[in-house]
Amino acid sequence: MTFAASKIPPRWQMFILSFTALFLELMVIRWVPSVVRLVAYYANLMLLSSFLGLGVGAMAASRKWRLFGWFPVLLAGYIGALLLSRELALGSSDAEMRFGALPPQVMNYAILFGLFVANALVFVPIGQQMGALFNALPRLSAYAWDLGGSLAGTLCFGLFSLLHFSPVAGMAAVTLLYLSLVPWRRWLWALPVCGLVLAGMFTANDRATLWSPYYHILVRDLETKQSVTEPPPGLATMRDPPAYVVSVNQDFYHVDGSQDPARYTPGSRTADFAAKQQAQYRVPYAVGGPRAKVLVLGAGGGADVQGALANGADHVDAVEIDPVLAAISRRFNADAPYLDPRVTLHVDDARSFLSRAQPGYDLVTFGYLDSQALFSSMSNLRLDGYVYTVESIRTAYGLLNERGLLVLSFGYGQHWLMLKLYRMVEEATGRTPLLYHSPGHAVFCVPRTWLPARPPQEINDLKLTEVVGRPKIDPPTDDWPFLYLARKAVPPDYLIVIGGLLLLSLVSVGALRGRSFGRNDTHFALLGMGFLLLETKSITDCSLYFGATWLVTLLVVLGVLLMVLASNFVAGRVARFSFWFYVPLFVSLLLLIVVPREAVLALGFGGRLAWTVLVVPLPVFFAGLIFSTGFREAADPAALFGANLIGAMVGGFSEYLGMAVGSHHLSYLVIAAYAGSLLCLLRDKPGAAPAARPA
Amino acid sequence: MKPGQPDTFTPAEMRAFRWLALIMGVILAGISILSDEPAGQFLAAGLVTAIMISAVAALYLLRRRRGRKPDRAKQDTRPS
Repeated sequence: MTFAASKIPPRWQMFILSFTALFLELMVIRWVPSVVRLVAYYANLMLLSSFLGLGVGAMAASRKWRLFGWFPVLLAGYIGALLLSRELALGSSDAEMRFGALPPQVMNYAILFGLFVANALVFVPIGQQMGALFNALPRLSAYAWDLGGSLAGTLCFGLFSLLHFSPVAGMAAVTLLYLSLVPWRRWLWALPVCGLVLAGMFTANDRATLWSPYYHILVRDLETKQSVTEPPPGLATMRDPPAYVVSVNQDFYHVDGSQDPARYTPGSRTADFAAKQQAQYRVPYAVGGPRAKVLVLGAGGGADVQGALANGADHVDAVEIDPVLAAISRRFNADAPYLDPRVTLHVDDARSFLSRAQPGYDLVTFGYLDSQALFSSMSNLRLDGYVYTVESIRTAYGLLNERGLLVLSFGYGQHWLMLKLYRMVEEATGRTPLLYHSPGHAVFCVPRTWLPARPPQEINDLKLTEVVGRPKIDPPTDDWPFLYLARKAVPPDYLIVIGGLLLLSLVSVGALRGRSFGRNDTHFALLGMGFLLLETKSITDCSLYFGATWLVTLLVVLGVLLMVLASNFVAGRVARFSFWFYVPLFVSLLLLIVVPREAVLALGFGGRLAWTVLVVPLPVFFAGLIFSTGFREAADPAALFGANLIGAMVGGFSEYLGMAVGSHHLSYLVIAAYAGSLLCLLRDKPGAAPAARPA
Repeated sequence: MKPGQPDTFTPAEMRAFRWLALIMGVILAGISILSDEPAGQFLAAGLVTAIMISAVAALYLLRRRRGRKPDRAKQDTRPS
């Protein structure tokens, strides 16, 4: 089925296709972790497999066989595979710690790889249709409509996520967009298949599910285990108030409930739980005595805040990144800590708050802050990546007053993780932390100067433990923000999936392009690789400067797309490609390398903002100019667009090297990618525009 | 693309892009306000300000260039 069969003008078809591709990518990434839990740790690879599908589709644009009519079937197959793999928990090796993971099994890897392939297949028909439109329309105009669709898709998904995310509603929107592009007669069988997809998604979802910008959330009664949507009336004052287990991405996260045993009839499960919670959250005060001004980072449901208030705090600043978790606590926590006038809730990233906070705290506590997912689909960093670094802990330590106390509590799964936390705290503060330890549970305490009394040897089941010698493990830093990695290396499961997808892309490109894949294709592939690495760098840098929140990520993606769109418009007014475009590109890239992130981080908020708005986008603009001026006169634009997307996928894979070498070294890879693209042009025919040659 | 087809943006396309930019700007403002994240809101404001300044600068330069065209045409017609 060709695009000519549709009554919609080709330019608007391009817009709708790009919109659909972006919206579907983001929606699937958002929904899948609620079905297959550990995909939350692979969201980035899910996005990259979408690139593979789009790229392969674009390369197949000139083939006689058309796949667009098969889109509903491929989508149904993908959703079916996801539902069949439900509850799959992929284990990891000893190299990486994941919450709720099982021992690794070959079958799990195979299923995970199969899901990525099924995801890629869904995007092949969209890519093929877009490729056909690239071949038919003026290049720059087509590219502008493509970018416009991507921008609109990203923004509309952001709004949809914020207001009321629903996977069924999202998929219904994708179905409608698809149906708008196919002739009526296709509806006869496309509608039932799409209906089946929607029914499958509807049945897979718990009605009580809440969607935050970061997580799939369920609230269950601690006693009955039933999911709930409303608390009983008078929760804050009633006798024997229920407690609620909050789980994210199908795993336990925290409990919202009273920590006051006096409110309970002795002997019930909830009463026991309240007593345990009370004991657990009094640790900082058992070590350091009463604390007046407290900062809680990763406040979640407010358990640490309840502990602070119960131990006499005058003022508590509670920082929680997820607005939905905070809202759940307001409704379901019987002690209602966030409604207490002594508490100020800050919905913000902990690191971002640390960079703006004023010193003078008696206690800064990291309240079992842990990530159950990547912070965005655009990067391999976890949500708490920049919270658990030497620099972050140092900043938190600097916020203490003379008699202040830093406390870091963590539920760890593997021994090396506890040692890594110990090293991080030790290096950040320059002092040997007091370690209270029980199996799987550690609390690190570091006073600023002195403690009011000798620290107790035992608190609850936690024993004061001495770590002999300095553990030989690298602490996480801003350059290597991977707390959950045992060592500087890419974990084997990532290598398996990435290797499989690379092999698949090689086979696909070989089958579709064969020997016609020339230097010009390599040039565009390297541009794609450089672009994705650059985009990822922009996202991670801005996450460090402004917090790893979903809004910051959304804004950076929008900014990057806008820059590319701007360069495309400028390319329309530039006579031809020039090798000189590479000069400002390399200069701006070098500027980003020469000026270290610490220097930008040390600037005030205004300085960081100015740097982000004025300097960070520059290389994206010049790289876009090189792409668009070359793309304008391409003989086979669909194939080059496909090569560019495959290159972007490879760039995304390369980002995983940061796990082994740190993020700063990835900047050199960006330069290498663009230098490689320049070499391709120079070796082909010096002085000629890339577009002047056949693809 | 058909042979001889110009690869520039038509006035209708430019109109459509202007409308799209306006709609997307409104959505972005809505998201930023509703999100209640101070750092993100400032970043959004910075981004929009930079875009506005760039757009105004680009329009100014384009108008200046258009204004100079007749002079250039005159110069070009002079016998060398």
